[in-house]
Amino acid sequence: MMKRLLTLLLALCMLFSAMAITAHAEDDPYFGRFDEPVTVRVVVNGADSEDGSWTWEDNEWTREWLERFNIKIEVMWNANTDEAYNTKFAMAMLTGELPDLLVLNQKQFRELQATGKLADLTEYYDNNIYPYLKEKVLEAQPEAAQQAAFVDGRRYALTTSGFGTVSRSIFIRHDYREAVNAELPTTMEELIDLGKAFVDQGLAKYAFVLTDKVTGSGYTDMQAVCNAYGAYPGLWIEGEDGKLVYSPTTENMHTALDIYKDLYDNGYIQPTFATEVSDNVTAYIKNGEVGILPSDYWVATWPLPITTEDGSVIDWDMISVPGSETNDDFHVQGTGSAASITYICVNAECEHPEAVLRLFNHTCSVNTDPDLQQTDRFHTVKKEDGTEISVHMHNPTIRYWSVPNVNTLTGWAVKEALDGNTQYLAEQPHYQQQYDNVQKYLAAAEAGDKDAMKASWGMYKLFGGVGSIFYNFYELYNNDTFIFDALTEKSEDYDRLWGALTQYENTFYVNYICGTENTTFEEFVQGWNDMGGALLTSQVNEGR
Amino acid sequence: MANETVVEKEKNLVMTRNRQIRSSPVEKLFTMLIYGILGILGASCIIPFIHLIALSFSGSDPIKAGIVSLWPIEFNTDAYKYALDHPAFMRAFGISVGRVIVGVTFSLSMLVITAYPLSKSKEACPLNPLFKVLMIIAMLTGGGLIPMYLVMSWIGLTNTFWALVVPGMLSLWNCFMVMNFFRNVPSELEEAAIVDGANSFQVMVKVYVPLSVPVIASMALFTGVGHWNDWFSGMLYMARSRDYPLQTYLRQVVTTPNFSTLTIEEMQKYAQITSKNNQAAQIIIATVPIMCVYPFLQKYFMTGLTLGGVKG
Amino acid sequence: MTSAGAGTLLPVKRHKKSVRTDYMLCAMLIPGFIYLGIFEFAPLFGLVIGFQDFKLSTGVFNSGWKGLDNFRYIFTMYPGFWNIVKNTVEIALLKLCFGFTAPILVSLMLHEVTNSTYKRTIQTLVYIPHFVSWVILAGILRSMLDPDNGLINHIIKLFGGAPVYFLGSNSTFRGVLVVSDVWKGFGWGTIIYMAALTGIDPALYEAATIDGANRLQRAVHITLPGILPIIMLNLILSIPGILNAGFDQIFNLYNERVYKTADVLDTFIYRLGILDSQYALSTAIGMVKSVIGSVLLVCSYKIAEKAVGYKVF
Repeated sequence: MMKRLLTLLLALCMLFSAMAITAHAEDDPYFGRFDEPVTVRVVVNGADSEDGSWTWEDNEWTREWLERFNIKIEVMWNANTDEAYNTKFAMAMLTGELPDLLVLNQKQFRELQATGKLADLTEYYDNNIYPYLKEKVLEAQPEAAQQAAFVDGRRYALTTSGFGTVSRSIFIRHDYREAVNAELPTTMEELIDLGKAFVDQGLAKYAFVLTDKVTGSGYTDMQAVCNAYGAYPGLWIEGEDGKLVYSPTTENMHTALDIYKDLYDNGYIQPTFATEVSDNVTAYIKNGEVGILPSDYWVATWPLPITTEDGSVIDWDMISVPGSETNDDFHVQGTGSAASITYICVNAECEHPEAVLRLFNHTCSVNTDPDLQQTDRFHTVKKEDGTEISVHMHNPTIRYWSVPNVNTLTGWAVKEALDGNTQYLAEQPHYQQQYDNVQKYLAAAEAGDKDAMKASWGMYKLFGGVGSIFYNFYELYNNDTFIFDALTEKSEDYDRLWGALTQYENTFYVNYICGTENTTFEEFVQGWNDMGGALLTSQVNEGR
Repeated sequence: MANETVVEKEKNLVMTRNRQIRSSPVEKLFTMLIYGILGILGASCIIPFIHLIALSFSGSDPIKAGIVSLWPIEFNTDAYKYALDHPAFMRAFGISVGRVIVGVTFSLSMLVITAYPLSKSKEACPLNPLFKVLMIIAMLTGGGLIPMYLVMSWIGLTNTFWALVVPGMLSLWNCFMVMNFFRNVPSELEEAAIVDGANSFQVMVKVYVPLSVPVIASMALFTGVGHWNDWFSGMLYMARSRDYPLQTYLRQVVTTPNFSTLTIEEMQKYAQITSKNNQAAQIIIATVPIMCVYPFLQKYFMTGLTLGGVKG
Repeated sequence: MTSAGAGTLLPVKRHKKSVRTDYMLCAMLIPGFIYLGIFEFAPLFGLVIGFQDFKLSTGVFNSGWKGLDNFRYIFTMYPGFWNIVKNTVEIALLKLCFGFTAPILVSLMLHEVTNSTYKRTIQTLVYIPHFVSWVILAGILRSMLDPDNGLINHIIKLFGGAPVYFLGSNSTFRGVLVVSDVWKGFGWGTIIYMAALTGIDPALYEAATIDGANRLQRAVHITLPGILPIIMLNLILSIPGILNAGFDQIFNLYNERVYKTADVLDTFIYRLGILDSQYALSTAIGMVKSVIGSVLLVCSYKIAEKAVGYKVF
């Protein structure tokens, strides 16, 4: 009797708890719907649509959010250029008219946190962040980036760093290389000679092309050559004495600059690079005026590939940045710095911080989580006239929650899959997606379909197994060839001085290469130190 | 009225001198030289625009090859179709037109209503000396961008169209010009109106304003061109980029974004909106309204500007 | 010059009877007072930023005080500051020299033109550049001065010269600044002289011709003296602009390669204030600049009053 009673009770308990779970599902902390409409105010760094077909308030994302979460998006303002965004955001901080969702840099984060303008996210982080986002994105960040979110043990931000095992790659025009009958270079010296050979044989007009941004343009800049000689533009590195030193002020930079100066003096670089914008580079590439591009990976998808008149793709070989014969300081520099973390925060006056987090949960799940992958409607939409518009750019909050180093990891996963180990592809939607793209190219190549080859050429070059850009990065990373910014925190005077110092540095590079001024490298280092570089160097070394 | 006299005078002057000119060979050469130099100067002012027009009608290949000079090569009107089919561009254009119309109306009303009392004696309007001192102080000082923005925010003008037209409504220097022009209007006309029972506001509207067409037209053109060419306040005060005036919109077309943060789609879009012939076409469309208006107002410049600025 | 046309038709009488206060006139100044208060005087309190350890989040009212530290820092420590001051003054002086004489010469030439259609056409053409924004002109200049396929270098190559990289070299950049500035402004500058020239008594020319003066002599002895007061006045009034070397123009044309010769106070203040968020420093420099500008303004207006009897206010 007692037993039956217990069983009944147990059954009742189970029933209730089952009901409780059902009730709880409606109160889902990650994707639950609000009973009352909730408004989230945002600011957007991007122009409104050119053709008026969508707005930041009314698009695929916001409609979904309204329906699913009962969350309405209010756009306080948007801007069409970075310059406009930065100016307007400064003014917003000034007047205190801040949005609910704030994307800040270190300086802004500290200022706003100190004046109590940011919401304490400690509990919300524990309860309301979708586990996938938490585990794969936020907690996969380097330790320094994660710790930056806390002030006195309380969390005020979600932090993401730009840390990435991504560096420059060398693109070499295959037909030119065949024409000069050369092997793929294995050292930087060989690469430079190859570039000269292209010009000397009348194939290309220039060995390398540069633009007004000689470092950090990504399109095509000095970084690869600098790296080969152990110089790292923009990076603080640990010197032999263990102290931080700004890499461009070391003698290695001098070596790299001399190489460019020599190329420039002999006409191997455009005489007018200092006023050329990235746009011009596209023309040089398309006209075949340059056969070597030390560039960022995305060049593979735009402006490459280029085609010949009969429509076939002009092939480019790719190698990772080679070291130098004469200098063994060689590393390739990765992106990101613990000192330049993005802080994603919520306004202290926001009544529902969990609403903001819900938008993140949704964006992240759509973009990354293989289990929760949604339909394509958040990526691209076909219009009536057949053209595709990419919808993911219409997200007015955080457009991507990228898994750190996802591309490099994809390079590895696709290579494994091509070797027959396909089991890893299920770990990330991105793996499978890129694997499919690579397969598309291989199929097209087999069928000799030129258009299809052209369409998937870039993705093949990025992820297509051994020798692809991201597999190269994966290998470099495993060989410890990557070097990262050693600066962990901006010192007191850092922001105040850094702008002027960077400007001085870039101006010097350009003038040194062109020989427009007779400043020697030693004078530059002296000048840099006098301008406050010495002060910063001592400051950043103090905390260590 | 004032304008006619100047033209008349100029004619007399030319006629007088015509009579004097003896056509000695040296004089002839001299004349030809002057005509030639002026011709070259005049051409130098228009050639860049002709070049731009040629670019806007040319195909992109000849532009990249740099062979387009003053005549289009591979003539086409795609760039104009692109601009005119482009709601964002046309909207920005419309906003600029609206801004000029409203801005000029506001400015002129403010200028006239302020300059008129200032042109009177301090017995008639005892506030004049105070106002002038304040104006001079204002001309010598300036708070800068940040305080100005705070003020605009407090009075609620930020994020509204009025932020584009209200600040700068009263240009102090222009006000002095109009004031000086008013002073040169003979007081007898005013006295006649007063005898007819008009108050000072009516005198201003009925007597002074009609007599001051040259200076008012010049001021209208100045403020209009100022509004048309300004891009900074659009960027600063407009909340939405779709409400930007044309020049602020064009900044997006002429500046280079940071390529490393762009997605592939954004880069393609960028490549399209910044192609040289599209740029040229948009610049031409942005310049046309000024070119259309100014020849009509040109005849007023001479009297309007000089009599206002420099007293006889 | 005489007053407006009507003035010559009616005899001018100055009445001496006492004038009563006209309250309507006073009322008409009210909008002006409100405008000055809001848009000219209210923002002045913002100058305190220059003396503060200003932070955006604490704002104008709560930021800590720094006294003259910001000024001291700029004048003694800020690298390259004095070079920027030097650039500013040099560029402004260059522009003044050429930008000032060009309209005078052109006016004198236009004055000699007897064919009125030709004269009007030229006048219409030379005014045009004045109305186009520097944003647009910079775009045009960039494409015309391009060393590879720009129009100007095409012409240079046509005559067998080597292409010149105008915008990228410290030796030519200032030349471009000055020439383009003069080009934009010379036509507009002629207006005031052309007006003055109409005021010269034709009888003077007649007399000179009878005395056997040729055209050049007439220009030097009659035309030039006729507009001399205006020339003087213009010169004096352009002194206060000596620290304004032309923000819009330089900002739209310069690049890192020519910072050494082209960076001026205004471009520097912009970069410092907006792009680097150094609001206190940029306000401090702006303040110094406007103090110097004010002193020059007051001085030049005083000189104008004394030397040519012109009263601005």
